[in-house]
Amino acid sequence: MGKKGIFFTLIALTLVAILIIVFARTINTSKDSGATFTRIQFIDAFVKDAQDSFLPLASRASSYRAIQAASAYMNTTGQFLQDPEHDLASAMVNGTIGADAVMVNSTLTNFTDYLEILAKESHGIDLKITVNSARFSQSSPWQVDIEVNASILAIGDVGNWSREGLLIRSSVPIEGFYDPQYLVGGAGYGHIFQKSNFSAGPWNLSMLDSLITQGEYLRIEGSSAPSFLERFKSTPLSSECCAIESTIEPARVSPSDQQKSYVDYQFFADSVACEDLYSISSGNFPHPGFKLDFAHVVLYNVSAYAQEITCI
Amino acid sequence: MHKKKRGFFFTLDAVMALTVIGIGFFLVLTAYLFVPPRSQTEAIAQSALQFLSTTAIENLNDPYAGIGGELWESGKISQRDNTLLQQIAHFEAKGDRETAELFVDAILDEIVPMNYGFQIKVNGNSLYPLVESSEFIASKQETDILIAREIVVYGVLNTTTFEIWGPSAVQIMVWHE
Repeated sequence: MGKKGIFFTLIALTLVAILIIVFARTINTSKDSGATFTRIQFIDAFVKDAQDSFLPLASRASSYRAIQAASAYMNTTGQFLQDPEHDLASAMVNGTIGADAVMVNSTLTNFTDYLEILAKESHGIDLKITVNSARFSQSSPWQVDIEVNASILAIGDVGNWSREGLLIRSSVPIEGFYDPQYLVGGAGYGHIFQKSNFSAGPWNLSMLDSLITQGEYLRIEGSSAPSFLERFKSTPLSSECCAIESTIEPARVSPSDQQKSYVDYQFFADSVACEDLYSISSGNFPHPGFKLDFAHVVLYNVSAYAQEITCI
Repeated sequence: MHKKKRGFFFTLDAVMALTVIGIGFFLVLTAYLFVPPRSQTEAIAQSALQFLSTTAIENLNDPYAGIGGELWESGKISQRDNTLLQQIAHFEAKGDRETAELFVDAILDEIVPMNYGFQIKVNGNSLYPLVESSEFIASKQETDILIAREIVVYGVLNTTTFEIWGPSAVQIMVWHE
């Protein structure tokens, strides 16, 4: 009986030891799974933030800089872009137009590279953001729409996150950019896009004077004017959705009195025959040499001040 | 006599068993006995990060750092939808580190309770405090528990040109003094 007792004691000790080990492991396991869950939540939030917040912000910043860089490039080279939608996208993603580098440290690739480095250094996440394509377009006269197709791959210690074919959409207002037609098209001076507060009408001579002096742009329904993006081309086409136009101040071009319509796109294309031009003059109208075609004379309601010109 | 001896051994056996069980549980539980301060520091660090990364300037009621406050009136803060963390890193991006320190100082009461140390670094540079005093360094070194949390932030430097700053790594550290 005495010997049995010691065996019972040993069995009891063994059972208690097993119980303690299991208990301790259970606590550790639940603690580990809690940490894993937190880590999963963190990386998940990081990827979501990169997708929903960082990429739209970086896309907008790099597209803005790409438009600026393209204007500067055109001003330097004196050449229009062959394919603005493609060239601007190339500048935005890679910083190049054709073989020329036009932008550094502000491309979309630069921004995504910064985030990849920080993700690795700060959070131990192997992040890879791939920009598959970018597209510039316009659906409104006063802003450029940018659509970026991107993929995100995040490899963490607790799993992999993959987002394919993400469409990142952003837009950039055109106000504040230089008009490429003015830079390269022969006006010889920089002219910044500014939206006019004047509505469609009724117009008068004073309003036309203000429009010319301020150099603001108008959206005129049915106009044959080009859009913002078309203005990067040497022969811009008219745009149905997004045509905008301004008027050139005669005093700012040389010679100031030319036998052209001073509506910007007509002036650059020299698209109005001399016989169809009307000179606008009045004692209160300080723009000698200013001329319009008949349609614009009617539009601006200045037929009382319009005179046919003598063509040479 | 035999019965008396047997009873003694059974009692001894039971006492031994209880002692072993007691020691066992004591060992396991003491391993987690120091968890509360750690988890408390962790919770404070997490809560500080949560507060700084989710509270927008426009929701901050502070006569120095909030909307209509001194920094807002002087134009040093202009983006009301910036989170506090973004605003701190924004100051760093603009090179205005002194204002960043004053900004954190103004909202410090909202971030950590008394008896807790706090430091914030942006891209490895200490913004709060700007200069680490010897007492501050000692406090950080001598603590048993220091919790560090890091987050990536970025934002718009110029709302007209969409110029952005960052991404920047912001690290906050909380410890029990």
